[in-house]
Amino acid sequence: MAEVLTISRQIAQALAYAHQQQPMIIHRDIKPSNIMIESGSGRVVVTDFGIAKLLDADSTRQTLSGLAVGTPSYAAPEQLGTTDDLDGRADIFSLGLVMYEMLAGRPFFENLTPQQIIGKKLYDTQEFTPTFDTFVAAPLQRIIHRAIAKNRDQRYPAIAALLDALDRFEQIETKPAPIPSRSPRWSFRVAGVTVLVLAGYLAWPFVAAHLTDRVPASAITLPDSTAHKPPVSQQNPAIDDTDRVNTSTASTAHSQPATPNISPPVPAVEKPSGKAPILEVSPATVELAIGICSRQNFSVNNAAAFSTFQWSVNDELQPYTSPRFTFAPPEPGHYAVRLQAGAEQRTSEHNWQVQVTADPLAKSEVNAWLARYQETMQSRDIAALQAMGDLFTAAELSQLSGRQRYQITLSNWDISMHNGDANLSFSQLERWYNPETSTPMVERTSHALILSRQGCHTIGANRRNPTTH
Amino acid sequence: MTLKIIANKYEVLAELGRGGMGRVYKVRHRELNKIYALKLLREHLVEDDNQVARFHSEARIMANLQHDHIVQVFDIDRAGDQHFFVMEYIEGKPWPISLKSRRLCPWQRF
Repeated sequence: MAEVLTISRQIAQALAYAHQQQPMIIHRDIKPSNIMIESGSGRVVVTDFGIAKLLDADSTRQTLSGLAVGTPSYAAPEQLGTTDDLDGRADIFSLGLVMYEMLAGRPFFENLTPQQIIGKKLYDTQEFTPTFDTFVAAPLQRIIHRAIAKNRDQRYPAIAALLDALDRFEQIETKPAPIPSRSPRWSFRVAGVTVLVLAGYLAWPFVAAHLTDRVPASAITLPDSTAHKPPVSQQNPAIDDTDRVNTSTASTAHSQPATPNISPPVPAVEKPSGKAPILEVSPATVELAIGICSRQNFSVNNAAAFSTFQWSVNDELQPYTSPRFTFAPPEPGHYAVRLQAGAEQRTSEHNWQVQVTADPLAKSEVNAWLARYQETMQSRDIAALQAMGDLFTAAELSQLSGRQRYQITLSNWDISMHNGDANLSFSQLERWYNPETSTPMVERTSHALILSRQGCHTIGANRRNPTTH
Repeated sequence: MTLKIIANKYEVLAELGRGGMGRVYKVRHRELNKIYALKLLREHLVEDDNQVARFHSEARIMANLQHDHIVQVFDIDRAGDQHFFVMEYIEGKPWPISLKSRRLCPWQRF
């Protein structure tokens, strides 16, 4: 997607420049074959102003001659009619179709004859709606939708407005300030028959060094004793009310009567004094999946942020290096799926532990599994947690051994079964403390996810600051 | 007709593409030893004043646009029946090619 944005913006800049000329110059024939991408530099160059039109008072001799040499595929509806007051919005329409094609991987009017295309543009009253069979961020879809409105009054009034929209989109996508997550939103998609997946969802899949480089320290520090924010458990009903230690001032200082105010087991942590410590961020997580299926799709939501992909199952490299990956378990059993994705200077790794069972799970079994999971969480037994699949890498583990104090908050626990689909969700906040200094060392937020055989569900976007949830 | 030299100074290296109005060649300026793209008006259009005018109008429009993302036009000329203009040569490809490769497998579409 990043590539598409870059290309689109350069085309739009070229058009904006042409439209600004006095008299205004409309390209009138924006289409893929008139757009060159320079090897190496990646510079985008608009070519072929063969039917470009100088818009001035004298040039009212609007003809259809331009169309005779072009294809009607990318032309705006008003170019196909008899209008003689074309303006820059015609180019906006064409650019919208070009953007669609880049994102969808196919032309908007695929497998249609020129006559059919003209018919759709001129006589069909239905608006053009861009549809995609892969993930495309909704704002970007809206931008295209507006650009290819049949009525030019519904489009962006000028190419500059389209450029603005692209800029805003890019900012939202790549700089969700002040949240420390430059991270992509990951989605875990499952297709197939009756699938149950439980996945921890890590908010910060990137290497700590990168994050701490980019993130203002204040964004990932814990509040100090005078400025506590209520922990997650007070905002969401927590599950477990046993083993309450409750020595953390954070749990009590700002309790909210309306909520159960149940705290998870909290180690006897002393108030951090002075400056709040900067947390380390766990670079990788393991996500859990139990599935009964023949196929599982794994995919990355804003895949475009990454340029390279590498998938492996049980440490065996898989042939497809792309954001989408389908994994077909040959038999019931345990499979470790790993994604390594890279972009510019970032790399990210994600892991799924997939337990494929032979038969559909009953709700009671799911509940039993969850209970076991939670119990393991509360046990603080590193080995058991690792066996459950949700833990740190071996390196982190060795670092953490002997520092087993941690706090886990589970919240928003929900499970439901509908027509054989299992939907399961919860949120989990983990804080690991250094027992010697009692300072938090690692903190991470996970979201469980949901799935159904109906298709793909995106895990909730997790861009919130994990310390404030 | 296979073109070798146009206007006694542009050596044709390859054909880059063709459209309704003309063909585009990769050429080398023999004196400057520089590579350009050259668009040549189709032979059968040279009789048509409208088409010739349009061809020149395209060249003029582009020549007046100075922008990083618009192909630059350096020269317009004719040699006998050959009407042509000279543009910067862009080593690259129009992106349908890359899309096509993307379409090879659905995983790669995003």
